[in-house]
Amino acid sequence: MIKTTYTEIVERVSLKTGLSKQAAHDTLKDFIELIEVGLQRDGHVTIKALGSFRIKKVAERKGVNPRTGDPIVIPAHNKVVFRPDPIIKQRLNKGRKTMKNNEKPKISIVDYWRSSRPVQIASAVAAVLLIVVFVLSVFKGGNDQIEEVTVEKMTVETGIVEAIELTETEPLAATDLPLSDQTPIKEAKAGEQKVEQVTSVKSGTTHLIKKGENLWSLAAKHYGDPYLWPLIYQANRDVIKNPDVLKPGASIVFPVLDEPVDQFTGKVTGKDRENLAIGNLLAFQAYKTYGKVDFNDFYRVANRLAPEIVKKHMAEMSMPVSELASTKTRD
Amino acid sequence: MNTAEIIKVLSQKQSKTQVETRAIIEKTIDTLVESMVTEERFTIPGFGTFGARLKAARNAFNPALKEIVVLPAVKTCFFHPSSNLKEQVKNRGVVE
Repeated sequence: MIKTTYTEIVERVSLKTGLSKQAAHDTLKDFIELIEVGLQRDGHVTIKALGSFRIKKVAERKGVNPRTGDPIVIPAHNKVVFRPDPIIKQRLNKGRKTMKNNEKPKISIVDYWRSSRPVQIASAVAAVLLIVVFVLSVFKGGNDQIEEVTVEKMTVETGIVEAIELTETEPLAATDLPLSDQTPIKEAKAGEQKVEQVTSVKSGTTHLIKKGENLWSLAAKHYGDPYLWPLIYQANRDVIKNPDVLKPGASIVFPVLDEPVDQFTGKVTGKDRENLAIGNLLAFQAYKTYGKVDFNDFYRVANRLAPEIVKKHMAEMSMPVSELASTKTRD
Repeated sequence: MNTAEIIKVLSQKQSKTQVETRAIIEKTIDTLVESMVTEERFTIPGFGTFGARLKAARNAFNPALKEIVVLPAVKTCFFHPSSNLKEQVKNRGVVE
């Protein structure tokens, strides 16, 4: 940026026009005066090859007196706006690739997110990969993890399979689902995969999806708090793929809350909090693959709810990112 | 108001023909534009400062197509009105 003095400009004008410096100065002065007069009279002045000067209204707004700090009202007034002629912009950007004469380079939403949040990349990808490994292992119905589990837990596993098979033929009855005599939570703490297995299915009322229903409203009706919809999503991961899309005629389960909602804060506690975090992580993954913009919010919610679970999931990623998009629940 | 009117009034004021003043004015505008194109910043006293600036490349999100587009860097020019001009224009059209 070079600063040019007014006298320099006048010199150039006099050189170009052949007038004396004084005459050039007078001409320039008159020219500018006329622009000002035109602005006052018409409210706009258009100069060919230079641009247009316009008067715009500015609404009244509140401000602060910078010296005293008192609130002050800045009254409504006008301001001058200059719109340069497009030729000037063209000449300024000669040879530069602009949007019009260049194909729009596109970057994926994931890269955009990465570029704006470099710190959370590893953690989020880790969480997502772990969930996928986990969910796939659960629904593939046979794994090392299940072998370690006791017979009671085995029934939970098979219980899930049975429940799913039934939904294809007829709506589930509550008695078909495994009852809440599951192994206590402390046994499951041996590995976080078990946590997700054991608590991923709880007994509860079933519900046949009608047209126009969504997880938000269902959670509001059933739990009184629509923000608990990831609980439903987590419990019905096999039936619901995209949390925004509920297929009418499908049957879903409302999981029973492990502990009652905290009477003071109105928030879920204990296992439910962890389940909610897992649900949010699942939603985060699903939204990412379905290309929803604010998928990152769900990771943040999960982190806020149960950072220890998210951290555990982070520690175990080994799957390549390409397998994230798979929404197959069972082979 | 446009250039033609300015030329008319100026030619009367400076008692020159319109053709003459048109040539002069066009050359004046040329010098101003040249200065802007060479990215110089210059001030006309009582009116304002003209200049050019570089706007960095940035990512922009198109909500309709749900794609993120990289907008390239671009040079633009600007005009900052001087306080004199701002005062003149401030309460134009306001009925007291």
